[in-house]
Amino acid sequence: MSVEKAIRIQLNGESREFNVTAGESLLALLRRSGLTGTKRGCEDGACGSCTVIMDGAAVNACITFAFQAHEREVWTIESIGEYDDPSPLQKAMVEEAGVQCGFCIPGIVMSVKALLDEIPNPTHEQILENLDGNYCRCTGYEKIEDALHRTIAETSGEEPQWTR
Amino acid sequence: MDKVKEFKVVNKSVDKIDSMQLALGKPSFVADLVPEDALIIKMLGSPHSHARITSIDTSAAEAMPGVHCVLCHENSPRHLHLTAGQGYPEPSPYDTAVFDYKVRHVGDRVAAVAAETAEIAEAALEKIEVEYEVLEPVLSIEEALRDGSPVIHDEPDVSHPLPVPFQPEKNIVSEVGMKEGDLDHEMETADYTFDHFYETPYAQHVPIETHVSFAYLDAADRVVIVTSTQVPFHCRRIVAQALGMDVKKFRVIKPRIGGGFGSKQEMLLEDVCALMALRTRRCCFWQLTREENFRYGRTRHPINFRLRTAMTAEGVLTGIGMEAVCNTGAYGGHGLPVVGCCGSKVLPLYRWKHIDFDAKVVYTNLPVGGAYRGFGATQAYFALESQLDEMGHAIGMDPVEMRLKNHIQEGEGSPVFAALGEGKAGVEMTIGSCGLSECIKLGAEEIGWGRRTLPEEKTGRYRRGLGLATLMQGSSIPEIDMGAASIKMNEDGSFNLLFGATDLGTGADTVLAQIAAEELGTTVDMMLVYACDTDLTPFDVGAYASSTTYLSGEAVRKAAAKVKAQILGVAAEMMNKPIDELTVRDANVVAADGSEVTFSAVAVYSLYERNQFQIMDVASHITHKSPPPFSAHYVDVVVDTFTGKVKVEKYVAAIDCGTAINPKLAEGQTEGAVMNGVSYAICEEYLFDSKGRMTNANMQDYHIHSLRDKPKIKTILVPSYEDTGPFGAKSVSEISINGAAPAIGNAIFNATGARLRRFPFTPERVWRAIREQSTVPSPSPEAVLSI
Amino acid sequence: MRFVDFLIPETLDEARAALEALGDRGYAFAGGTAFQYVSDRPGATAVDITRLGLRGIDQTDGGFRVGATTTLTDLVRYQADGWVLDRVATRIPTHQVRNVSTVGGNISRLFPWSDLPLALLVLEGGVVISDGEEQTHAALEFFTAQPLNRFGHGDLVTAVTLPAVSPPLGFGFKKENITNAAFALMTGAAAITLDGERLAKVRLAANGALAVPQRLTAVEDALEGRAADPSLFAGAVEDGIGGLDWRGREGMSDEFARHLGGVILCDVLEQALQAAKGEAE
Repeated sequence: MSVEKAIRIQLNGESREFNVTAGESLLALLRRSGLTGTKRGCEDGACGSCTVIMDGAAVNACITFAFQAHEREVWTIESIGEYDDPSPLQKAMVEEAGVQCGFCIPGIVMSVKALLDEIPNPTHEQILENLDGNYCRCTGYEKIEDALHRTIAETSGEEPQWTR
Repeated sequence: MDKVKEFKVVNKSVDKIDSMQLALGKPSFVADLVPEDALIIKMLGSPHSHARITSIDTSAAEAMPGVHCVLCHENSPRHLHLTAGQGYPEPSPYDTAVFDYKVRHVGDRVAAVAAETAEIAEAALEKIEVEYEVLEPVLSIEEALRDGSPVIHDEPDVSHPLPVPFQPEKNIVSEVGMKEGDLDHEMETADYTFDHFYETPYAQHVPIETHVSFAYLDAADRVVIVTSTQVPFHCRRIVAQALGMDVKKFRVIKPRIGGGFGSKQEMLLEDVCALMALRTRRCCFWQLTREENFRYGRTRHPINFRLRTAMTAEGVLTGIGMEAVCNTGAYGGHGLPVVGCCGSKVLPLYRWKHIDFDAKVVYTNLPVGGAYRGFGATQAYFALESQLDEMGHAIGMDPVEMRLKNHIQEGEGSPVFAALGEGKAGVEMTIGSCGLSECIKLGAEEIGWGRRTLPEEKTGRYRRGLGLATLMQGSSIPEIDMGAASIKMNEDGSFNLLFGATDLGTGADTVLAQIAAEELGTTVDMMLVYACDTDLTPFDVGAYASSTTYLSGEAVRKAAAKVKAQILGVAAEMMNKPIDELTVRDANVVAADGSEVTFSAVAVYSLYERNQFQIMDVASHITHKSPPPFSAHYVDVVVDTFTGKVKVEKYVAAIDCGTAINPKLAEGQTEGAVMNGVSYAICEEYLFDSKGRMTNANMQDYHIHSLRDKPKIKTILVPSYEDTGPFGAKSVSEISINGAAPAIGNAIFNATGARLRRFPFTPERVWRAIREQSTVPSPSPEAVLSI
Repeated sequence: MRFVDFLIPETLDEARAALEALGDRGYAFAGGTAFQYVSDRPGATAVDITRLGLRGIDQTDGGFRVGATTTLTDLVRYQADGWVLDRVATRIPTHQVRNVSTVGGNISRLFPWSDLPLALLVLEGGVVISDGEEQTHAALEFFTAQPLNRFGHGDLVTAVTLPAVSPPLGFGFKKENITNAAFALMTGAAAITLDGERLAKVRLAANGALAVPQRLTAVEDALEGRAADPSLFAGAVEDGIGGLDWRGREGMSDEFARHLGGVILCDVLEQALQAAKGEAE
C-alpha cells in the first residue's frame, strides 16, 4: 500500500502543501489541482507537452515524481501571461500563426521561457538543443520559429544571433 | 459569383481566433473539462492477433471496491457497425461490435472497466479472466489472399450497407477499378515502358493528444458525449447504431481537438463511454494511453503497388496501369475510399490516354487502417512520382520538363473523375483553376534546380541530391458531402456563427469566420464562432476529404449572404430607401447618397423597435466538383553513403490552393503536412514481431521529427481562383503530405544513383540500395527500349 | 518502476543510512528519467539524493571532478579548457531529460544507449564511490559488469573524474540515431595520445549497437605504436570488431549494425587523431 506524505511546493509563486504518494507524477498532481494547461501527451518523457519549469529548468512533469518537487519552485503555463498581458512569446505565437491545435504550445512556451531566462540571445544550436524535446505535429515548426525569432529580438533587445 | 479579388477580410492573415486561448493554456481540450468525480475507464486489449474468446469471467473485477461497471461481449449490445466516420450509407462494411467474442489484432477490445480511479480500473483489468482459443493470424497481404487462409471476419452477421464486392470469406473488403483506352496494347507498342513494385509502410498520425472522450447523463436523461472527434454528427449516428438506440438520445460536443490528421474521423471510444454512463449514471472518462493509441488507434493503410507506365520517346506520357492492394488491418474502416483515392486523386494529374486501375482491400490481423491526411493519394504518389523520375532519367529528360509537358491544365478533364467515386461512380469534372506550371517554375527557382547534376557526376562520401514531386488532391467529396451553417445577429452588431464543421487545429473556425465577415462586410472579431455541438449547430459531415474551406466555407458564405439580405431589408425600412441602393461596408449599411446606419442600429431596430424579428438564417451546401489544389515539392538532401543516413536540408512546397483565405494558416497547413511527410518518409514505421505485435508502440521508439530534425521549409502560395469555391478558395490541408516520400526518394536517386521503392528511407535501406546499385549499370535495366 | 514510499534526506550520511536500512527495497533516486525502464519490485522506496551537495564540476590537477548529481545540462553549459563532456551530453536527448538526468544516473545503470560511460572508458576516467569513505575506481573496472551489482547497500557514487583533454591527447565522439531524440543505433568514442608521428595510446569504445558499453581492445592493440595515419583505421577496425555481438536496433539487421559500427569507429578515430594533432575539426 502506498504511503501518502505531505510535500511543499512553491507553485506559481505560492507556497502550497500537497499530500502525495510516491508514485504520483508531478503531472497528475498539477492536473488534479486544476492546472490543466500542462498537457498529458505520452507519459513517457518523449513529447514535451507536459513541460513545466522546476528550479529554473524545463522538465517533463509526466516522468517527474511529485516528491521530486518538494521544496522546489515550480512554474506552469498558468503563471505565464493572461489575455490582457500575454508574454511576448505568446503574443508572437498568436500573431505569427505558431498555434494550430495548440496542444503542444504550453510546453513549448515553458521550454522557451526556461531557455531565454538563462540565455537571452541563444545561438541556433542552443535553440535546437533546448527545444529538442517538444514535439509539434501540426505546424512543421516554421511558424513557431518565426515567433521565437521575433521574441528573442523583442526580449533581448538585440539582433538575434540566430539568423532565420 | 463575380471574381472579387480585392478583399477586406479574406486573403488576410488575421490571427487564429482560438490561438491566444490555447497559448495561455486555458482549459480547452476534452481532458481539461472532465468533472472531478468522473469514473475512469480502462480497456483490456487483446494480447493476441487472432483469437476467439472461449470464456471470460469478470466477477472478481466487478466485486472490487470502487469498480462500477465491467463491459465485455457477454453484457453489451451487438449491432455490427463501422467505426469510420463517413457519409451514410457508408462505402465500408459493418464488421465491428462494441465488444466481440473474437479479437482480430493485438490491442483489440476485450473488456473495459469503469472505476473510481485509474489505479482501481487497472487493478480490475488484471482480475478479468479470459480464455482464448488462439487462431492462426493473417499478417500480410499475401497471406490474406492465399487460398485457405484463415477467415478474419467469419461472424454470420457481418454485412455491407452498399452493393460492393464484399467477400469476407476471402478476407476481401472490397475491389474497385476502371479502364480507359487499351493499356495492354499500349504497353506492347509504346516507345518506352516501365513496370515496378512499390510498398508503403504502416505509420500513424501521432496527434499529441491521444483519443479522449467522456459521457454523462444530463438532467433530461440524455447522453452527452464530449469527445475529441473530427466527425461529431457521424459519431452521434454511429453510437446510436452501435448501441441500438435512437439518435435523439445522444448529444455530441466537440471542444478543441489536440490534433487529428484523420485519426479522429472515427468513433473509437464514444460507444463505451456512453454505455458506461448509461449503466452507472455517472460521468465516465476514457483517454487512451500512448501505447493504446498506437495499438488500438488508427494508422495509415500500407499499400502495395504494381505500376506500369508507357511513354513516347519524346517523353509524352501515354499509359498507366496501377494495381493497388491495400491492407486495412482487422476492420474495414476506410479501406475502400482510401484505395479509391489512389486512383481518383492521382491518375488525373497527367494526361494518360490508356488507364487501367485495379484496386483491392484486404483484411489482416494487424492494426486498423483509418483516414490519414492524404488518404491513399499519399501512398500512390510515392509510386507514381518515383516512377516518373525513372522515366525522365531513362530518356535524359529533366523531371521539371517532364511534368510541365504532361500535367493536366485548366479546362481539361479526366475520365477518372467520373469513374471513381466512393462506393459508387464519381462525378465528371473539368479543371477550373490550375497553377501547377507556375508552382513547378517557382519551386525550381527557390530550390536552385539549375545546380542539379546527375548521379554519375558525384563523388565522395556525402552526396547532395535534388528531387521533385508534383501533386494534386481534391476539395470535398462531390454530391456526397454536405455542410451547413447558421448565423444570428446580436444587438452590438456581432454575429453568432454556428456550423457543424470541426476545426481540429487547422484554423477552420477562423477561416470560416473570415468568409462570413467578408460577405457580411464586418470584421472577424464580430463573429462569435461555436462549433460543434450536435444539439445546437447545423449538420456537417465533418473535417475530412479536404472539405471544410471549400464546402463548409461556401455554406457559411451562403448563410452570410442571406443574413446580409435581411440586414439590408431592415436598413431599407429604417432609412426609407430602396434596398437595391444599399450596400454593407465596415459594419455599416451604406446608401448610394452616403447616408448610413450601423449594424448595431439595425440589430437593435430588428430586436426591439418595429416589426421585430431575429435576423438569422441558415444555409447548406453540397458540391458538384472536387477541384484539386496543385503543388510542386522540391527537396535538397545530403546522403552519407557510408551509413545510409539521409539528411533533408531544404524543402520547398509551391502550392496552388486557389485564394488562400488566410495565407499564414495556409502556409501553416502546408508546412505541417510537409514536416509530417518528411518524418514519414525518413523514419516512421510500425515494427512488428512474428506474431503481429507492434514492438515500437511508444514515442521513444516510434519517431517523429522535432525542431532539431527539421529541414528549412519554404512555402510559396501560388494564387489561382476557383469559381466554385468561397472567394475562389480550394483546399490546402492534405495535399502537402504527399510529396515528401517521392521527392526525397528521387533526391536520393539523384545523389547516389540508388532507387528505393520502399520507405521509410532508414540508414539500412539506403545503404543496401547504394550497395546493390553499385553493381548495376545505369540507366536502370527495367527501362526497356521496345523499338 | 513504481515506488510505494519516498525519502528526502539532506546529508550524504542520512542518505547512506537510509539506503543501508532499506536494503534491496531502497533505490538511490536522482533525476529519475531512466526509472521508467526499470522493472517493478514490491515495496520499492525512492531515496532522493539530489539534495546532498553532490552537484557541481571542479577543476582538479590535470582534470575534472564531476559531482554525481550534476545534471547533463550542467555538462553542456560548463566551459573550461580541456572539457569534452559537453559534446557527449548535448547528444543525449532531450533538453528536459538533460535538465534532471544526472551523471551518476547515467553511469550507474548501463543501457545500450548509455553515452557517458563511453567517454569515461576512453579517457580512462574514474568513478568515486562512497561507503563512508570515498574510493576511486577505474572506469574500465567499474563498467565491466552492471555497476549496481558491485554496490553494497548504502554505497553511493559521489563523483566521476576525468582528465582535461588537450594535445597530444585527442578525443572523438559520434552518435548515429534515426532522429536526434532517438536512442542510439551506434555510439563510438575514441581517445588518442600521440607521440610525435606515432599513436602512443589508443582507446576506443562502442555502444548502441552493442548490448552495453565496451572497450574495443583488439582495435586499440592493432593501432598502438603505429604511424598516426588515418588510412590504417579502417583495416584495424574491420579486423578488430568481427567477434563482437553486434545488434541492430530500430528494425535494422545485425549485419548493418556491424557495418555502421565500423564506419562510426573510423569516424571517431579520425576525430580523435585530428584533435590530438591540435587541428580544429
